[in-house]
Amino acid sequence: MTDLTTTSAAREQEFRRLLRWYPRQWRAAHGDALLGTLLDAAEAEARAHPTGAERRSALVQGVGARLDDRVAMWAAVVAMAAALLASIGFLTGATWMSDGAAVTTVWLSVAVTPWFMLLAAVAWLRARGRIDSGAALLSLAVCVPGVALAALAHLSWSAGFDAADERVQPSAFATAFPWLALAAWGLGTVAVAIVALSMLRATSVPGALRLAVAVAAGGVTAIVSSLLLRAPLWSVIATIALVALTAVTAEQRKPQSAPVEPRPSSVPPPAARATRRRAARAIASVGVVIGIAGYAIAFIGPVLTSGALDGTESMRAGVALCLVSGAVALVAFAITRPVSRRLWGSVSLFALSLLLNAVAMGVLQLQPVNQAAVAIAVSAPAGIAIAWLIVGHRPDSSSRWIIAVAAALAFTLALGAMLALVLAFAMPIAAFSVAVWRYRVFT
Amino acid sequence: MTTALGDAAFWILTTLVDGRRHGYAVVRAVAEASDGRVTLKATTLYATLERLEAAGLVAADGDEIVDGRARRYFRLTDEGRTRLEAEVAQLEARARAARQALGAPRIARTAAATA
Repeated sequence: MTDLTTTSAAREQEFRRLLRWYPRQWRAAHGDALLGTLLDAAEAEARAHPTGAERRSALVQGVGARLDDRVAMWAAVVAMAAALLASIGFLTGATWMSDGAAVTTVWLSVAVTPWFMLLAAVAWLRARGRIDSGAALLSLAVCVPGVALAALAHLSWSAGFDAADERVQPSAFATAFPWLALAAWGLGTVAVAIVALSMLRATSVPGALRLAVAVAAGGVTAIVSSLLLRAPLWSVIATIALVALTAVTAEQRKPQSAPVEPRPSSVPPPAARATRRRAARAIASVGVVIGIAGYAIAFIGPVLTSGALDGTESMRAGVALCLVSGAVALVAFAITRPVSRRLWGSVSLFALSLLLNAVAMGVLQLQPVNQAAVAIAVSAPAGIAIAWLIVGHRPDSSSRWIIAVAAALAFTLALGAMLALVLAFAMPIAAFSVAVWRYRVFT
Repeated sequence: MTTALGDAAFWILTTLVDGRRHGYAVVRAVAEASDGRVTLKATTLYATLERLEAAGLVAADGDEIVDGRARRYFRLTDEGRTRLEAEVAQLEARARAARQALGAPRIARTAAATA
């Protein structure tokens, strides 16, 4: 009897070990039920051990069950970080990068970024039951040599160029470019086709057509993504979109918690409101005056200064003044809103960013400095302000944090400096609006 | 046979039409209903059940402990039944079309032979 009990306990232990492939949360919810079914099946077939097929299936389904919304989100974040690092490498490459750093940049952009993008996509699809675990894992496995060969193809292409520049015979590695590229494309096609085929399996599309569609989708995706990833800005935009998609959809699928109670806003007495409105209008008027001066210098600066400033210099000075008027308008607007640390914190950061932009426009552009670094530095405070506004009253939500960081990085690295220049001439108009608008204070 | 639901899901829904069943009972019923052509592994069964549960086609219907072993029962939901009926209608339409295509030349051939 004791022997029997021991045998039974040992057998249960052996089957229970199969469950270790599954994530802890899954085991807590379904582990005992799955174990019971495994033991029922073993008993019916008079087996004491799991079959090879059961072991393989537990590995595939267990590891597959780990590919959930959380993995999708973090994989997208890693892909975005790799794409950002690579784009900084590409943008600043000419001035400081060693050969080792240049090679790292290639691996980051052509291998790490696409593999983690695939991981994010595959985890997202699996979590929604659109593909099965086997297809998800197989696709990721096939993609590993695929992206490695893509990176090698990229480096081989560069080696070929270098050899041509130096007018020397290209090395064997350089001449291997077409084969490396072809092999990378082939594996990329297979990786995507596996995912597409699994998605199409749950449709009534006939078998042969399904295979053709999957292979065509794989081939096109592999070639388009390899072309896009060569342009750093596109891979940054694509990964940021992926981060936003995975974070937003994960948020939507979460069980809804109790709605957040709106905080009662403190409404000051009418006299205080009138004072604030007057203060806002006075400050905004200063912004309008600075803005008008900005317009004047930008367009007729050489005439006003009797030629002391040339056309380009006066345009820069005018734009800088317009940006200052924008910062002033922002402060004036903030005075009319309910007081909160978040409001004043983010407004101060936005205003700081505009002022830094103005300094960069008026002064630094005349100096021989790294323009990309300046653009990033002046946009950074606004990026932080954007993140602050997005996180808002929900600092406990990890997906909000991820979207906030993605938006802040996108703004800082890609959009900030450009937008400030595009919108500079609209800023005096914004100041004018704040000065004359019959807005309600503290609404 | 391929269905829009996928083979495993199709057979699981089919075996739950009779009433609630626990995991291993579903495995056995699927093997019987498919004349032994479909053998579900426990791991695949639970992966599929999880998907069907998320889609609202089946629902967990209580846990029992029998001889120290956990058994979770599952039942077909109304939505699951509707989905299975739609699936069957589609399969029948396809089978009818194929039978017609296969039948037409034979009738023609028979008619030609008797003429």
